[in-house]
Amino acid sequence: MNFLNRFKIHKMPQQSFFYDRIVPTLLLLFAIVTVALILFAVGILTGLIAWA
Amino acid sequence: MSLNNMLPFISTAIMLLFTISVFQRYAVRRNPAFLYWGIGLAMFGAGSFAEAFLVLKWNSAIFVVWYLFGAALNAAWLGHGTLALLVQKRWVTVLTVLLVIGSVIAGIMMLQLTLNSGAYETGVAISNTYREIMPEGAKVRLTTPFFNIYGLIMLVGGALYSAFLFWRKRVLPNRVIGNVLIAAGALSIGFASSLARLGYGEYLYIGELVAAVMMYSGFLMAAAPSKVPAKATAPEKAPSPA
Repeated sequence: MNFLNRFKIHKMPQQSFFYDRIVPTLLLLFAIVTVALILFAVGILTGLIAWA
Repeated sequence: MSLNNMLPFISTAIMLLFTISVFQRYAVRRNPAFLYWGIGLAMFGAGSFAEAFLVLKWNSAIFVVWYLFGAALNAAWLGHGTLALLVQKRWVTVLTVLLVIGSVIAGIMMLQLTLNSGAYETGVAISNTYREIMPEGAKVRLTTPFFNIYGLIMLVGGALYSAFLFWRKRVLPNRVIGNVLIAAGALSIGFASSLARLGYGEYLYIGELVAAVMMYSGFLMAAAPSKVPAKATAPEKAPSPA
């Protein structure tokens, strides 16, 4: 649980590679994957994608 | 029992702890979001347990539990919990009514099915044989994309939106990371479910376990109280002589 303690702060560090680069990259990547999954589900519903 | 077949037991145990934590929070705060999450997590746990059971033995009622709660409904209820945090109460009430009606209809459809137990194989993941067990053209299978799309948009979209808001304001990093973990966990199960739809059911168990671990970790991190810095106080003035 000591690992969690480093996140128990109110504000992010001013300059941080993790919060300035990694986190926004993950947010964008997850958003793209979410849209892809939604399109996949719509494809199944409309019959465009053959499902087992 | 293979390692893959043990995974649902582990997922069930994690989801049980997670569900208890969330219902405890609901008991204290009475926020409907925790109730909906608790319902979704209980469904997730019930689905995992049913999966674990069905590896060992056939039971038609357990199969119904697996498909209805594990495959169809749990994502929608989890997403609904996130919606309840982000949207006005009036819209939440309307969508809650629709979700309850949809869930009941899916349940009725499921209970009306005549299952082909002859297609069941002991020791084989149920995600690989459910298509042969359920009758062809079962209407309830058409409802699952609707529930899953709703759940995906609300749960993952809501988590990403919350994470983005806190990230942009550069505050509460525990909530940023927590919501990223929740989104990653939800995407894990969404991806594994999509693979199962395409006929690759063997990845469902690991997807569920990853989802359980990441979402619970995200919940613990997002819910942890952050240390607010003490305000700087001006030195007190010495009392002036009267």
